[in-house]
Amino acid sequence: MSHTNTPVVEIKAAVKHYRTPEGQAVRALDGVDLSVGANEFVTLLGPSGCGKTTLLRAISGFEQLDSGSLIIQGQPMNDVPPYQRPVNTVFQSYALFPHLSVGDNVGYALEVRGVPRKERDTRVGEALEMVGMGGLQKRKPGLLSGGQQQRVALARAIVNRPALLLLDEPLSALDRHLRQSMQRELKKLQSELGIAFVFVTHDQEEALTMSDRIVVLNGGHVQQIGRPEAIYDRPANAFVAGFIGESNLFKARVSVVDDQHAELVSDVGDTLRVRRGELQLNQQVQVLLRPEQFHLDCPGSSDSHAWLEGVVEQTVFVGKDFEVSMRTPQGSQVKAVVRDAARQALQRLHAGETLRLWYASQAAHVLAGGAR
Amino acid sequence: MSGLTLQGRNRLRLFGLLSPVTLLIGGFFVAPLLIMAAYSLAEPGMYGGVEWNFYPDSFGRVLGWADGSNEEFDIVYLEIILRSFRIALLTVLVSLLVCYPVAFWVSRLDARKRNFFLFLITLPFFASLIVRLYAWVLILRPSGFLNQFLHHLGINAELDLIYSETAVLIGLVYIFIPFMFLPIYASVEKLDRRLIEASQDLGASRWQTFRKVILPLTMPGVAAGSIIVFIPSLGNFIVPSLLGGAKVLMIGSLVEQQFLAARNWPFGAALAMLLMASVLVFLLLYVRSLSRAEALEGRP
Repeated sequence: MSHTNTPVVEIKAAVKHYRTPEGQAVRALDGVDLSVGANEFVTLLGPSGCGKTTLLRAISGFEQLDSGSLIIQGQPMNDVPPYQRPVNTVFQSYALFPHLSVGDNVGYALEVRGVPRKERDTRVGEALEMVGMGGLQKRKPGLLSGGQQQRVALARAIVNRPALLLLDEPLSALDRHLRQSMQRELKKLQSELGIAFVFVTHDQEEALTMSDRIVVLNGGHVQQIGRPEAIYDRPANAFVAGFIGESNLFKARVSVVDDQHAELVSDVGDTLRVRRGELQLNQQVQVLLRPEQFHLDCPGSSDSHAWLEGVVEQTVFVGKDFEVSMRTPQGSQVKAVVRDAARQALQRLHAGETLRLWYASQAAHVLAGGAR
Repeated sequence: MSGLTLQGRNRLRLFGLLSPVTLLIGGFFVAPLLIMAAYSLAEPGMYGGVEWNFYPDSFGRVLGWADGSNEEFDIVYLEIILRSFRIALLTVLVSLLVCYPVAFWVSRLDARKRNFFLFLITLPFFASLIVRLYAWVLILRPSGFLNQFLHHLGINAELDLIYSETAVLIGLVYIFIPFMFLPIYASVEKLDRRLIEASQDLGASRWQTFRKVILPLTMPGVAAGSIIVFIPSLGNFIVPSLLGGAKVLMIGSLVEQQFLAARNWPFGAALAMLLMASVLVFLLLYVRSLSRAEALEGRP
């Protein structure tokens, strides 16, 4: 995963305003910086209206930035029309041409560039082969299933080997099973082709599975850019923590510090113990504990572990794991995921039982800027 | 009812539903058509009636085998038919050029403005056709509004448009624009804008996108509009009589003259049959292009 060489796309301080029909100004992009390296798989992740699709359409050329610069392969692209950009898109709705055969759909980009018929046929065949749709050139898109249309749209977008492939929620219309296998195929295809992918999704699982880097967007701002593990383990703020994965988030104040650890008191009075790091006495922070970081028994030395105690409210078996919801005496709700291995301890998870949930104080993540 | 099987009941229901329309078409369409066909091959009587003898010379007057013993072949009838075709085709072309871009513009308006515009398009139907055409006489005549308007602008063109082919063309385009606009609008509105984006994304210029995506996908509307405008303009007789005068005779006016003024029903019927035959050829072409378009979209 070396994408240290010159970026394929570089966006600086991108701003885009919209005006709603009611005359209200909406900031779809509010000073976004992004660079995508060659052969990198970058995912734009965020809730609907976060600006991810606007950013994608700015790269493809269907939206004009109000300000900011857009450079693709070293060339300024702000004023270049979509059809002259070295970028292709896989559209959410596939947007296959209904009047053209599969072969002509895939060959479209070549035909408009005047590539001779023979070479076109060869390259169309190769592209369809790559997406597992070889030999279906003669079919009409209307006769294909959703998954097949998806593959044709993909073949159509890669046939001309763009510098960058943009994918606008391409898997959202597929059923869960197909979506998962397409995720893996896309990832494989990307490394085979060696071209950069910018993938837009609101599905955090999809983003975590496929990406080299994830860009979390909200309200037109970049919330965090990082590798999937980094985003998951060390979210930059409460939004990222809440948007990606399940989370227990405590607003807390540092009450005791020693060399290694800090003790914090949450706003409702729960006591938490974390690695000290840079924490200062009386500092206001937020502490993130993922549900799967809890254990029913202390897994190591009690020195490096801490616990939260409360009453079990509900336990749900979700296949392999138990989801436990517990309420502390102070009133905080804590969600935990307990592995199957602890099934012997099942009686402890009955609603109404008092439960102690252990966590490694190392694992608790302290969010920067928790004072806000 | 209980004695009937489900299939029998369905058959009865189908029969009941189809008989009114069958009677209507049979009584009011097929029967008059057969009468016309019979008249076209009958001999014109001395004082306007018909003698029921086989008499192909009414067709011969137009198509060339009338030898002068009964009727005489005159090239003028073919000229009139040719002129009618030319004017009808020009009507189609002009209204197409007007309606196609406007349809795109209207389809991009917001819903309220769009509905208002569609209402405006149908507004002329609320006034009598004759009145509206006389308004065009007032506009186009030498001392009419058009020349007055040009005069006010300082242009003394003194356009003499009335009673010319141009006047007939203007009148026909005016009448048939709604018929061209509505089918084109229907297909333009259905056009998925994302396909246009996809085409541009794949490197097609605006012109390539128009030729390869927009035009083929709106072709059904264009074809439907063209047929709907072409057929009635070809046979129209009101516009040429009001705006074309005696100089621009179209086949519709000729048929009307034969029935009402010359009282030669067989010849009028023969002309009508020839007109219908040529229209049928065009309809067949349309149906064929339509089924080809459907095959293109992969529909069965």
